[in-house]
Amino acid sequence: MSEKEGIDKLFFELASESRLGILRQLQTKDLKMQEVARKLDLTDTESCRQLQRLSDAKLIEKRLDGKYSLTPYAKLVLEISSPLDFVSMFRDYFLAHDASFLPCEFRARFNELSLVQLSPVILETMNKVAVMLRNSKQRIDCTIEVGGDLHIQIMLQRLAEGLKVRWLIQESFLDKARAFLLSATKLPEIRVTPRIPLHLYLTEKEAACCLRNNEGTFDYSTFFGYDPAFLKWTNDLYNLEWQKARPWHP
Amino acid sequence: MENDDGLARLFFELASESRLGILRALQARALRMQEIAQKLDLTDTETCRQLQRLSEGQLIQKQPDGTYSMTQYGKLELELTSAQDFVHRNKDYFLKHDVFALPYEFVNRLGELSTGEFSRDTLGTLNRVRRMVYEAEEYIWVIADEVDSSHVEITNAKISEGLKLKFIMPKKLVQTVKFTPEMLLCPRCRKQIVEDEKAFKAKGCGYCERRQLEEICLSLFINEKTVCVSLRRIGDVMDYAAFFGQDEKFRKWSQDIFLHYWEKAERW
Repeated sequence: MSEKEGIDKLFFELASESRLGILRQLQTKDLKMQEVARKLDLTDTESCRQLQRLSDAKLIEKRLDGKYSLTPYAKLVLEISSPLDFVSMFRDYFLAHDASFLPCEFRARFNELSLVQLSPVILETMNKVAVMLRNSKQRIDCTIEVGGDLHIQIMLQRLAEGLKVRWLIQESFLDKARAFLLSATKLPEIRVTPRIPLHLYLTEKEAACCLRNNEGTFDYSTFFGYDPAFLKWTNDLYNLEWQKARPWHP
Repeated sequence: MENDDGLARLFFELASESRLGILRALQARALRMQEIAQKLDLTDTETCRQLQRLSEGQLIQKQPDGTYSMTQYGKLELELTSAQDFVHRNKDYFLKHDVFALPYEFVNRLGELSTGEFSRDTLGTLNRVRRMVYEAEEYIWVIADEVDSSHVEITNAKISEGLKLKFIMPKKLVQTVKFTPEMLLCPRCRKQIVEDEKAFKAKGCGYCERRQLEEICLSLFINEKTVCVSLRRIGDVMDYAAFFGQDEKFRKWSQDIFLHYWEKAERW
């Protein structure tokens, strides 16, 4: 392990479409040189050369049966490259939005969002959130900064129907919250925070999240998803922000 | 292959010592082309070319005042490479140790360990851990599949002075080792911990809580100053090559993973 071998060397190994392609193929199963060549549409010579490079970098190893397999190191490198992959897939989003408001461990876990869909249009987003709130059977957790009347009405209605509802609201919204809750028969569980770092809507089966843009406001360009990893990421983040906030009664 | 394109291209942007150097310099503050050239000891032509590349990749941008700065996207990607940096620097370790036994979110968060210091020598590690026992005053959290008997006496003494010990061990250790439950309990109040845990804690006395897990896949030793982390070798044994760390991120990763297992572990 020479100190001299900088991280740029590792990036260089990964910076070729065919080498990265080989690693991704070997992620699913071990392959012989010819199989690698065929799958990636490479000549045998080229495939051989790239396999040699990857072996030298200890990313792959040749097994006794002649097949190549990933080393544990390579598996790890691919895994921790997936957050970078996610962020580069949504480059335009991350050029315009500010993830620095998130606790750093949630940025490192960005690949857990890899199955999400981005809804960039405000009205579409609003409608999707409304549907999500109406479809919930057990619970709704959300953050409120400005507060869309429609969503708040739906949540109060769902609350009256017996759902568990939690609101994490930004201080600036307190007066409006009081007004909304004046005629409510049941109150959601409410906590207050000086500034919410992002928008989250969560039910027991779906989630939506939206970051502040570079001007510090919300443009409602929102990620929607329902796979376990995304639900875990959003739940962990919501619960963390919830713990930091103070309880409030109107 | 479209996504691969994007990632391979990103890696290519990062695959040069001077481009990485430029990004790291711009992470601290926005700089002019000449300042960058000077800092990194590059020619103006070379600097210009690299700045052009990085701008095309939208990792950096030229501002109206003529300086270059990181884009939000660039900051984020550079931060995320700390995990690669850590894993690559410790390649030999990660060729032989099993990270994937950990919950996936902690694998993703490995970059938080990047300030850690690696100790590959068994005796060195054991000595440092022993020193950690001696220096602890407030608390010790441990995940281990073995008990170093030389720690028992000092730990007991510390507990009676107020140290709070949390210990997670595998079931097989609980069952097979002739491990008397008292040996890690508060010598003064050991009865109360069984009878009335709340009253016991309220006294402000030290205490020892132990929980058991079916299997453990890392060793962890945390006191209020330092953390020691080591992973299981592939093929199931624990060794004493370990990472020691003290900064906030390293501690956060370690405390979070301890609490993750603590929640899952059973009381005796």
